[in-house]
Amino acid sequence: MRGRRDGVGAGRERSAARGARRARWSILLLGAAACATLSTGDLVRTHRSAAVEGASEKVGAETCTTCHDTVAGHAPAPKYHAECESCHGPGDKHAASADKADIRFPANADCQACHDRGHDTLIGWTTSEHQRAGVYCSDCHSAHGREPWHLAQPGAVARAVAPHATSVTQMCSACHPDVAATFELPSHHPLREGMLSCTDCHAPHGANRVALGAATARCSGCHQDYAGPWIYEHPPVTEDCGHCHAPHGTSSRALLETNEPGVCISCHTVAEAGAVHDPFAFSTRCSDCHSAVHGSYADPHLRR
Amino acid sequence: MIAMSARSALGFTAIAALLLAAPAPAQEPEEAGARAEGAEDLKLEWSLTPIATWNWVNSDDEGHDHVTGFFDQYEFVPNKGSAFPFEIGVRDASLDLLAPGDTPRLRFRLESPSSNLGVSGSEIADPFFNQRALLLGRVPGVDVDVSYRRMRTEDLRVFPNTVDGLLFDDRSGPHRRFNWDRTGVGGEVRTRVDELLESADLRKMGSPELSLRGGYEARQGDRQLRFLIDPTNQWIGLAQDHDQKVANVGGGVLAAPGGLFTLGFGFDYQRFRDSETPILQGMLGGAVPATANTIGFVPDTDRYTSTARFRSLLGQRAVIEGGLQLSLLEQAGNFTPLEEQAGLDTNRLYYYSGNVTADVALVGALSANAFFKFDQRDNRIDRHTALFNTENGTQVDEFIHRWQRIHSGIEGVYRFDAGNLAALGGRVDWIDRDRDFVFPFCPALPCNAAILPVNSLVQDDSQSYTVYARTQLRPLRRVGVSGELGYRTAPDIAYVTDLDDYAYGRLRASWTLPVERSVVVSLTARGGHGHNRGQEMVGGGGVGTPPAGPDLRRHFDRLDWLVGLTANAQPWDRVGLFASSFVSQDAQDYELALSSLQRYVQPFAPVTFRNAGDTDYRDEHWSVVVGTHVQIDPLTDATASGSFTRGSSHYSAGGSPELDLVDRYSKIDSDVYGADLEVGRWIVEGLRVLVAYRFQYYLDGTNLYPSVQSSIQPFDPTNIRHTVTLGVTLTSALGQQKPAKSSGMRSLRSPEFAHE
Repeated sequence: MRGRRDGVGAGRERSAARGARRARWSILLLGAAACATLSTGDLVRTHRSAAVEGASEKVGAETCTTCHDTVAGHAPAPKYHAECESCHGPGDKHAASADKADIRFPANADCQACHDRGHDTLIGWTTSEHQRAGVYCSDCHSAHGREPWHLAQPGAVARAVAPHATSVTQMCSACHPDVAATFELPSHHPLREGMLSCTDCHAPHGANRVALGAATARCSGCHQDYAGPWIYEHPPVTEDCGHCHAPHGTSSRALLETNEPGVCISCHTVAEAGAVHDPFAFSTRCSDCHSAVHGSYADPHLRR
Repeated sequence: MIAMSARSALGFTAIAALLLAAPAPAQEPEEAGARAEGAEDLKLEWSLTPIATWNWVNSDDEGHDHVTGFFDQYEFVPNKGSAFPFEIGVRDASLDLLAPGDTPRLRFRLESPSSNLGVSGSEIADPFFNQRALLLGRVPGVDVDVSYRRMRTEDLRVFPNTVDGLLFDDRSGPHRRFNWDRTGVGGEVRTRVDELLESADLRKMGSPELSLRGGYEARQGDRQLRFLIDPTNQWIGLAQDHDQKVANVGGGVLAAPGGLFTLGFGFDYQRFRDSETPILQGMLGGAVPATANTIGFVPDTDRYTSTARFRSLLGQRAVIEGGLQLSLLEQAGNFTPLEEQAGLDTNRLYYYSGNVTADVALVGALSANAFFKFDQRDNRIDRHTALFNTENGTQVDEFIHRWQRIHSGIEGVYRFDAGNLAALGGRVDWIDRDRDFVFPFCPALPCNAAILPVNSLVQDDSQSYTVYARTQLRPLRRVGVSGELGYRTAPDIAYVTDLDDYAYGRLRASWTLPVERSVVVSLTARGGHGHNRGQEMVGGGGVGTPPAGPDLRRHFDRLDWLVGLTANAQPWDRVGLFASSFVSQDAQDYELALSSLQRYVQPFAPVTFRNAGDTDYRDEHWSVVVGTHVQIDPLTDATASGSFTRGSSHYSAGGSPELDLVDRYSKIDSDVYGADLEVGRWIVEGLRVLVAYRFQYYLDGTNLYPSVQSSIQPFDPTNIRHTVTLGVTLTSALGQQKPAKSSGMRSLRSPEFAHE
């Protein structure tokens, strides 16, 4: 009943050859990684300061709080992060000298020591983009703070620049001002208005390049009505919303990366005769007629 | 919606009550006594900021409640056209219940960027928009997170151009706003059995973390549909109502048996339903042919997702992580009349996904990391003569049965020390598509309308290979630099816009000036340039005549770049300053390709292709943002910011009549100005008053369509909006003699410079 194009057999052979080639590559890559595990070395790379030489005895949080009744201008140390020396190391030398050099600034590994297997286990952090870029847990979190999830306070200036955004968005903007700037464009997701946060779409602790699931899943989590399944599909829509949309902000309506008709005619040819395309295609938006551009149940031309 | 809000409030209350009433875990009598004694010391801290706002709009067009203005797209402001546009709301509220040692047991946060009670005017029935809330409960062994959100966005009305005398029959009504309301609540409960039972033995055994999660979102609103009806070519505009409900439920278990590795399993179910009756073409009347075809049909769906993940640390030497996910999305609930007549009810999409990543310390400062990801999408759409077959020609374009992707990479990293590294890496990306077409060409009449494989706009294979070098350096004590340079080549590309040669670079640099006061200047730059080698459109065709020979080669060239500077400074103790400016451009050059007829008639009529000239598309963006925070005196602070953003896009005019039209009616030239000022003063401890002013100005330089023949005329979206807010922040410190310490709560909006 269903027709197949000519040369199916040849296509299958090509496909098999490709599959074999890919399998070899994959085995090579994974093999290299597996063999390397037999080597020696140290993966802990985010020491902000090494263990303090000569510090050996813990003095207890009570001793710490005699001086640090407030910690770095924030809230009093909450009890469930109150064992200061769990993260800062033995404090006897620092207690005696009151010298900053005599206490350790915790590294990411100190946080992971508990968050690898306890509450809020972070599978994915070690190979995440933030970890690879050298981001410290304390860049976003304040272990001494009392905000939900120990989120650090964005600076007063960050709040002034984006006063209506969520504190998460303000904090992300500090390191990603180029992305924040695109939210000022005429078409944008409502982040600067505080309706969404960066973490509604992005997983700051995860390895986004290998995130499980479809590339479209991040969008269809809120836009289920574009997810299908459709009888008549539009191939780029099924592969990646980013073919046409730039999610942060654009000059064009509907977050289109390129203004219509460019986003369409950069791929599609336009018929000069035989229908209403000429001159309509050039004096209006393609989606004014092809409004079911994400998929349709009625029209192979995606008009309704 | 009001009912939904009430249910949410009840839910919050119930959860709070449960947390407060949670029984203490089994413990020794002495310990229990200590806990009971501690329970008496529970401390409550709270804050509340009620506000009153005035909004007014300087625009003849937008200053009416029935017109959606530019800013209404993102932030609903009620009663903008009211004679007395006075609103009240709660900008923020917080509540903390603290156990001894300031250990949080319950935390509640509410934030609303604008007034949200809607006390006057036509939207009095829609209060509580633009707000989000969070409730976190923590007792030993159990974490509860609950979030709530209610927001409204709107679409601007679109006016299709109707040159050539076609009538835009807009049936949506002149006073219709296309709004979209979302009200949602979601949450998760996580528990650790070992902590709950305070069992060290269970902890040693790798006691699992169990989680249950769920969520519900109600969406109501409408959208503007525009479409043409064959064969009359009547242009219809409709308001399509939606009443959508999304429910999620899921759970998971995470365990580290023996501490050797971590395993996680999860399952999620999502139910999506749109209860509005589908619009059928037969309902439209007039010259529209009466058929059972649906218009803008949104399928109800069920989605099932199961995930397994693992993570293994091999001492300090290596970490390996991986996972598998299987997802099924199927049509459920509502089916189109044609589907029901044909008995079709198995439209399914399967998605398989797997990944492995490894990070390995090799020798000394040398390490390597690698990743591998596999994705597959299987399309199990019911294919039947009633809907989708070769005989009646309803399949015009290709149909992708299966889509597979392998994305993999490896990188070697050399770390000079903790802050300096250099890395070399490579990535490969393969995509394999299993396409299906109707019969390729027509040996004899009758023929199928069908796009032929040679002129499909998506090809079977994509292959690309990328090599790159990246670095993070601190060459000087006050200077930090990170950058990446890479090159990608693609032997196979699938879309015209895919680039088969692409070189790119990224740079971030920061410099802390050697001056007494803190001044940090940062540079961000990125860019890339590439092109494809040209895809062929093959001309010819007709009954019994396959297309022959290249007719047109299509090129695509793209240059995109961004440069920005930011500066932070604290020139005086009480003053912080910020400024940033970004410039970016996306330049795309390609030909406007025309065909003599639609590609799908090629099986029975020859089609030729020609180049109508170069488009030379440019999308440009320029923005400036400045901000300051000033601590005027120990009790008074002020924040101010201003922003200007210009977004423009245009095509080069000329070269052909078609390109001239493209340029004339596709030009965008938009300026967005914004300014915020807020001054606050603590009158007494726990009582702060604030005054704020917000200025928003949208200047639209976009060409309007000149000849809309419709009862609803387009308007100029240029407008200015002013908002004045008066507010009072009350905190639990009110009436206390000793000033409370800054708690760090955002809701207090405590200045960085402590006011005590």
